[in-house]
Amino acid sequence: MIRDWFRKLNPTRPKKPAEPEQPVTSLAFADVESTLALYVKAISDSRLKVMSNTLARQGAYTDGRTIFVPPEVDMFDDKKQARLFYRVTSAWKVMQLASGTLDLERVPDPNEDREQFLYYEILSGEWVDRTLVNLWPGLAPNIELMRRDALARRSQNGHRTGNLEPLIQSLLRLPIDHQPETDEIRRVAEEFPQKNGELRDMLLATGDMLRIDEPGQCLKLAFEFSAGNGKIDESTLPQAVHFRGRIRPDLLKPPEITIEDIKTDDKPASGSRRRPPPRSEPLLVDSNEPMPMQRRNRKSPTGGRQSMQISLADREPARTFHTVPLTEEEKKGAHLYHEWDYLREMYLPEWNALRTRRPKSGSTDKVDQILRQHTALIRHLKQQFEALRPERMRLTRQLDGDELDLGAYVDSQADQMAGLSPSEKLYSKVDEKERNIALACLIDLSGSTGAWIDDDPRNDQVIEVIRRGVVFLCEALTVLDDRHAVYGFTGSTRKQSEFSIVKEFDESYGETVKGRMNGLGPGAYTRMGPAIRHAVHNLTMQSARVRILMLLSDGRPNDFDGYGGRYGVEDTRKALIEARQSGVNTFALTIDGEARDYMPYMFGLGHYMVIEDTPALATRLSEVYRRLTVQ
Amino acid sequence: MSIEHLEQWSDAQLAEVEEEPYYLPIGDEVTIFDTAYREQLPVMLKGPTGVGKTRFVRAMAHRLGRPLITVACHDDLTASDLLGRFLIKDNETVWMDGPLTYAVRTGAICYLDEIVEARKDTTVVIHPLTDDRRRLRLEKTGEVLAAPPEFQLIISYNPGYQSLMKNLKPSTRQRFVAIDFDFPPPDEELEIICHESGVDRETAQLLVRLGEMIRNLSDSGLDEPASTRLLVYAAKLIRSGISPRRACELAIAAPITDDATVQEAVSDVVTTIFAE
Ligand SMILES: Nc1ncnc2c1ncn2[C@@H]1O[C@H](COP(=O)(O)OP(=O)(O)OP(=O)(O)O)[C@@H](O)[C@H]1O
Ligand SMILES: [Mg+2]
Repeated sequence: MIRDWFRKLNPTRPKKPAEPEQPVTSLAFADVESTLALYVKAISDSRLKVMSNTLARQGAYTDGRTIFVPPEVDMFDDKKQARLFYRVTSAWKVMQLASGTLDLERVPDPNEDREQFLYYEILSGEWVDRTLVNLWPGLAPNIELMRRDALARRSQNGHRTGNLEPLIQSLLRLPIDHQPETDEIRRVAEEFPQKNGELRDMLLATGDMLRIDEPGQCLKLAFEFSAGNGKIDESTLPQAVHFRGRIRPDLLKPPEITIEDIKTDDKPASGSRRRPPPRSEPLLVDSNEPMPMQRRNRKSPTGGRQSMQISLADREPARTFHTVPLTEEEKKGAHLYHEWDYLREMYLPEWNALRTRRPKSGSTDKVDQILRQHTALIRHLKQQFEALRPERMRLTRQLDGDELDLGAYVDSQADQMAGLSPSEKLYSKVDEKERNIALACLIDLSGSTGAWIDDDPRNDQVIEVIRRGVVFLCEALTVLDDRHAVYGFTGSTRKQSEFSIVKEFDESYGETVKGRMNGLGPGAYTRMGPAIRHAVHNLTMQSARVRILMLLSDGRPNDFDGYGGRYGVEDTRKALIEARQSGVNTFALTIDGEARDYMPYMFGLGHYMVIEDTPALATRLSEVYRRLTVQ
Repeated sequence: MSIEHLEQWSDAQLAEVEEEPYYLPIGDEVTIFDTAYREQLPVMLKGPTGVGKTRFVRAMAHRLGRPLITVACHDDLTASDLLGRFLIKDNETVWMDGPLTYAVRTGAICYLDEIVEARKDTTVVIHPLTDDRRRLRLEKTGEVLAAPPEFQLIISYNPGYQSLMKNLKPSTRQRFVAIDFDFPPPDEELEIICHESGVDRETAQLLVRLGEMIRNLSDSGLDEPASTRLLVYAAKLIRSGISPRRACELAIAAPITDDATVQEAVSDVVTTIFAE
């Protein structure tokens, strides 16, 4: 029985009573999502993300950017196994992409030759199993477990006919911990006596294919098999091997990840490939500016980890509009800001018209609901923020204080004996390290914040998560004296940038402000530069020791009139440099999976955070603020 | 000046680096350092924790055959702690050089580790040493010391994800030649792990892979990414017979984050790389 060998292979699992009819448990994707998202990010070199999709119920699939897994797993009688299934199937998909078996030129077109495609799916699947076990040995026992589970389910279901099923089952019978020997292959073939000869030859050929550490042979062999075996009957089409899922050639985009990113072997060839760049230029200035723009280089020593890909060429604006100044009418009642034209390397003066507005305050039902549903969490956040309260510390060598500073006294005696005039700073006193912080929280209110999380209307919209995050932060800040403002921005074209004042520095967080938060909703476009400039302007009017601008965003800079291309990235970057020059610290939180294409360039490493699991944004905002401001 | 005096320094250490420290150069940092030394420019080592900054400094001190004075900076380090003070001894006063003064006087290498931690009013005392006059003024003794060519000032600074409340002032930062330290590339990191721990290459290879994977999470809520130091620690534990999974839990997963979700993901990555 399946359960028996599970127990054997999984010694940590507590023994269950030997009832064969145990109810199966179901584990929802939502329960593993936050961990799985990070896991996939880690093992895919930040190139892939994971989502659930009902179409993946018949097996996980990928389009080359996202791995789609089933919304729930209910094959197992134990949540631990279901969790493991999610992990293994995701890792498998990452390896499938990384190993190149999904490269577009490699996957046969099922519309042209369905048989070849089906053989390819089976053969390359077998090849990926072995590559995975090889490169990620920790998963070897799990893969073995899954292979046996798949085999047990398949043979139990009695599918033993057709051309493909015997091949799948025989391959699953082959050992995974070493390359199968000829006699092992022969023995396995005997399981299907009616097809023995043919099957044996196919298995032997497959055995040779598995020895090669490059997937090219899979396609060749698939071609031979399909040519030699004729049409496959619709009624004998096999199900997907559960943990491998399916190949969806119709969805595939050119892959983002290659095996070189994952494999870090020490062959001399790769040694020369990974030549490190110079560590530094002998410059006398350390500017702490954002990273230089460069292409992501797969072969760079860091595997492209800290460089980025600029894939903006397709979004370049038409240049003509950049030449017309704003009319007087367009300027009326607006704050005018310059923008940076990176092509001409110059500022375009008075290029943007930004208008501030105070959103109408109305009902506070949404905010009240947030407060009701998260009382414990908010209490916890407040406790954490209380720890930020000005630390009391004893300052030595003070003119005045409540205690004599013995060290200072000894020093002064010594000074005196040495003929110097002794210091008068002989006391110590307890002092509060004052915080004196001004924070502006700038929220991207572009249309995309109206999207459903994971494109699934059963989830929240992104804007709801943002609302929660802002409410949490304001609640937590009630225990501190940090001055803070909350702004939102959107707009369309440079003529109409919109800057909403949700809470101004001098306003208190009360019903009016809550009403405005309640009303926050998705707007139009994301013209970041001007909004940053205006928020920075307001920040610099505050007298504070530390000024912080925190940006919450869900995507790259983007606006109608060409701001979506490199122009917008460059202008935003420039606005951030201006901010730092005027003494404002900047930090961004984003939920855009592609953020590393532009975030390091705009904000600089360590000055932004990508949130894989969108709902987590709500608490991360407060967390990040806390960490940025501990003394 | 006798070594006994040095016992009075509470935050500093003096060492003659006699045995050659193992340091594997990653880029052109050695050349840059040599140039800076020759040109008498102060150096700032910038980078995350545990990537070889301290090791590099020791190696350079050894190369130059100069004594090394290391000061671990903290938030109550006063100017006197660096410069020196009068002490009373047998009813007489004796001037005691602080570590920085001593380094200037003897032409040593002075390494101020984690300079951001020091009080702002302390950091400014190094300013006159970092411009082209290379002078150190001791108010109390009335001395003005000119740093000999052998003297070298090095500071370290971790610009990573840290509190904005203790950032290095631009006026301080811009006085140094900055050398960037980052995680070594895979081949070099493999060498380092093997050399430092004596673990076999295969295990070291897996540790390098693990480190790379975990570092992918550095913008997702890790306090500090898995440093080379932590990989070396894990390797040492493995070498001494602890199972690889356990070793990685102890030396890597637990220290780098308190966030339960991130920690679970890191554990999953560990179990992907290492079998039981
Ligand atoms: N290039 C290298 N050559 C040799 N050893 C290295 C190198 N890089 C890192 N190491 C190893 O990493 C360990 C940590 O390095 P080190 O103590 O110098 O870190 P650090 O950068 O000074 O960190 P911190 O900022 O925490 O002080 C060393 O003990 C050594 O084992
Ligand atoms: Mg160190």
